[in-house]
Amino acid sequence: MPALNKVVITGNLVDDPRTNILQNGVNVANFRIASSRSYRGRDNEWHQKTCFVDVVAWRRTAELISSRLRKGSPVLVEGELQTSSWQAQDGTRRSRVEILARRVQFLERADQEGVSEPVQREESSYAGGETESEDQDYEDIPF
Amino acid sequence: MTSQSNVPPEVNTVVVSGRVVTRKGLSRTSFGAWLLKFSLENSITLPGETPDQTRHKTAIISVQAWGESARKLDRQLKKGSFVIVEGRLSSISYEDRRKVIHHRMELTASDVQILDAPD
Repeated sequence: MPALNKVVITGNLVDDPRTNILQNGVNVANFRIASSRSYRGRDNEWHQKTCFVDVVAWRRTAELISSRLRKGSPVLVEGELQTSSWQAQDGTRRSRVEILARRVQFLERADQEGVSEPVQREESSYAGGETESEDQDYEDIPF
Repeated sequence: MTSQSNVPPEVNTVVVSGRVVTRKGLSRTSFGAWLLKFSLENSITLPGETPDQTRHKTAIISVQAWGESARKLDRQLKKGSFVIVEGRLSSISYEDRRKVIHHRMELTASDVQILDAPD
């Protein structure tokens, strides 16, 4: 049976990304994006619906996210859905679905940063061969 | 890019495969729309620590199907069916007893293909 798991989504960060360096020196970044969709309702008027999506990124991607993204930054995220589990402060076991980012495109216009140039795009990606070490790393996430 | 600064184009596309692990019965919302909810287990095989080892990475994803698609799936979809779902991510927000707001992600299906059904 085919194994498929692919997400492509755009949105704006709802907060500054949370970044951390694990004990083994690996960078990890977590952020949430608000992704909006316009649709015509039963009243024939245009409406907007927003969904909130959690994203996690590793290594070089996490470093670039930490240096380039802030609350409100527009991004395009390519990745896959994964289930993340952790123990909450009250001792209960929690889980959530999030996107493991394989590639992040920063869609911020360069002139928003005071540089008078056309739209500037940066991309970040890492080799798929590192997939297995990501999973070992995320077990160490302290948050 | 749109002409408005910092407003990205609207892109929200998911394609995922897996086995159905739970499914609820067909229901109807207050405005008369058919709704079917199920969850699927997506599993991929990854290399292990040594060349002769493998390990599995599993994700449990909640899916909702609407309208005629939901009615059709209600007749055909079983626990254990292997499916490919195309759709978009959506989220539900709720407040817990401590007034903390949580968001839960779901996949709103635009198309569901059933590749294999349990015996």
